[in-house]
Amino acid sequence: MSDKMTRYGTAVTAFVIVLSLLLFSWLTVDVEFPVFAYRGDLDWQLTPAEPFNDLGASVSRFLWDHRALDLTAQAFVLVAAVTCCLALLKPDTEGS
Amino acid sequence: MLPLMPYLVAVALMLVTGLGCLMIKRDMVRILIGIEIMFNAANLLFISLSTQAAGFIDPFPHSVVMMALVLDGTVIAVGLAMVMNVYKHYKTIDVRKLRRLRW
Amino acid sequence: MVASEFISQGFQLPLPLTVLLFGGLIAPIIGLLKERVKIPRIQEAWMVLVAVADLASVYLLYQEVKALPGEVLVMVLWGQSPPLGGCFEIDMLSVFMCGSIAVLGLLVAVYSVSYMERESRLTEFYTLVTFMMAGMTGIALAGDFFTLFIFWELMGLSSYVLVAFLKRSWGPIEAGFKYLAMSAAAGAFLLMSMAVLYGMTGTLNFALIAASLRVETVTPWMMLLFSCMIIGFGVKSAIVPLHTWLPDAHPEAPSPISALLSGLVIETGLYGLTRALYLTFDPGFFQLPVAVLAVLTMSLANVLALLQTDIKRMLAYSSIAQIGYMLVGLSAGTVVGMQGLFLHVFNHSLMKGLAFLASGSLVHVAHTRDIDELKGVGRVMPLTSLTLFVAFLGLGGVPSTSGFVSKFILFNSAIGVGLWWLAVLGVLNSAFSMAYYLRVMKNLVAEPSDRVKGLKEAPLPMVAVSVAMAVLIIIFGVWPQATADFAKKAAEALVANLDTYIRVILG
Repeated sequence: MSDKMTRYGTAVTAFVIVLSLLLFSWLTVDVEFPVFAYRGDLDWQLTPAEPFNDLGASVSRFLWDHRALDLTAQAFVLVAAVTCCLALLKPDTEGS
Repeated sequence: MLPLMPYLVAVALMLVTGLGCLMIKRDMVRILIGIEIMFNAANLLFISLSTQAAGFIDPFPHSVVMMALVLDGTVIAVGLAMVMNVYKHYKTIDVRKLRRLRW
Repeated sequence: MVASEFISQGFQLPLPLTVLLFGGLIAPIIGLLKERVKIPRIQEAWMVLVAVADLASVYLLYQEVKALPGEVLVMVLWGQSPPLGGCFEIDMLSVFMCGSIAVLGLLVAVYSVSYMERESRLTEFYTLVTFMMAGMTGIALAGDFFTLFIFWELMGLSSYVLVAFLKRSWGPIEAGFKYLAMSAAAGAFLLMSMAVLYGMTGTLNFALIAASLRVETVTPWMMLLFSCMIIGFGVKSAIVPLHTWLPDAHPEAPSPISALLSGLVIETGLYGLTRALYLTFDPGFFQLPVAVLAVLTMSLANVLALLQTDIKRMLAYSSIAQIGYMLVGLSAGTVVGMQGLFLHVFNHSLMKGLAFLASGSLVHVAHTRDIDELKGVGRVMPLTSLTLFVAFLGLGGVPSTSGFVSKFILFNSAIGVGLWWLAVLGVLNSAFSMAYYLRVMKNLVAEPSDRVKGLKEAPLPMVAVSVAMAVLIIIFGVWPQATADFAKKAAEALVANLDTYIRVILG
């Protein structure tokens, strides 16, 4: 019974994968991806690509200059992840 | 200005590979690797879209990807801690043995 | 002043979020203190203090948002304004969700004082509960897709481990791993939908996306975006066929965590789906697919709930069915539909929270989850069973409980849009769901079996919380004006005030 379920599950998975590959290839080839099609006036945030040497520095400066909120939240996610691993790996003694 | 189509094809292949890995593989660590592949497909799509303005680079997706990498890593770390706990109970990491919770 | 200016000028976060994040940061230090100084119950006291402070700060936030002319408040950190920087955009809907989170969080904190008494690793438990509430508050307040994603991962990470908390037995571990695998995959799909959205508009800010993408006609790439969003948000909010983690995860979690998960986490997933769909697409586009999903969710969950023999698993399937009713409101897309959805979010958090907490008391005392073995426990634990009855009546939608009011508004809105078949199916499902609730109720008042005879009533904090929630459900059912008006303001903030929302950012 469980062997039949495994083969059925594999067949469904293969069908889903083939279907999604066909769908995605139709989408990519026939319909153009509307790159920045609905973009407003956002050109000021772009960095010129020409001086190749400084590119890494200017892109990472963007992270600190404009995304401090997400970095702060990410610090709390890291604290939460450490607490999660502690909770999972500490021995579970009956009564603390 | 890089051509976008090869990158879209690569993203689609990675997404499908990750999804298949998640659904078919019986080893728990490989399921976690499948999840990681799917996250990296989304990151690749972000980076390849940042090059599409002619002569310029958009630094916004690069910062998004840098933060998404960290978040993805934490999820995988907690997943591995859970795999260790599963091993302690079931003495195997075959996900087909985890069928005691039915219906 | 709601914004708390900490280290230097410009470090300001919304007050509920500050309270929860820093409360969660200090909780491990309190736990360390507990081992050195040996003050009993200091961790529980800190958790209850943080929950009360959260409720007070949500009230302050509500006053501040109400005082503004457009009723939208934008908060940024270090002066880095949108569209390049992340922001918090707080309107009445965000305050409504934060209020729901704060109310149920406080009740669960008081409950878990006596439920989790004898467990180990209590420091981590309370820290993770605080971080889960912080993540949910952050999702409600976010104004930018990436800020939403970071708080989404915070909420998800804490909930994976809280499901697998009682790792002595194999059930929670198996349920936790299944939940993690499905939810992390959904996170990847969510990130993919954000990438496609960025590719089309060049930004991830809510207001800018609403200004540029909503008015356009639908292309095939937008349909891909729609399906990625449904998968990404739908796993967390338990839409059929992506719901398969929920019937395993919610019974195996400890009871206060089941109440938080069923009452808040899946509704926050639904809030994320509502906000994202509403800001990206025109309601006419997603009316039919969401209606089909609503019918599937309601029907499958109600049929499967009838087959369950485990009380908490039946309540988990009932949660999926209630999400189906809320999807009816989403597919309507009008102010009335959204009012029903958000009112049902708040009422469901109270009712399902009470159901899980009361059945948690039963399980805690009787040490079994099987409905047949719990036969007659209503006669030895009268108060808890009475509150469980009230919760079941509310979930079924009996008049004079708050569940009736929100379901009435939901099905009314479906008729108002013209989807009369959706309303008929919803009413039929709601009536059908009383069948499995009545079965449990019948079992509870039968003759006590031998196993049940010697049991006493549950400890005082658990009973007190259950009675308080039952009283709240009946009060909000008989006098629904306050919550219904607040839900209407929240719905108007989403549907009717979209121009104000956009104008505040774009200037």
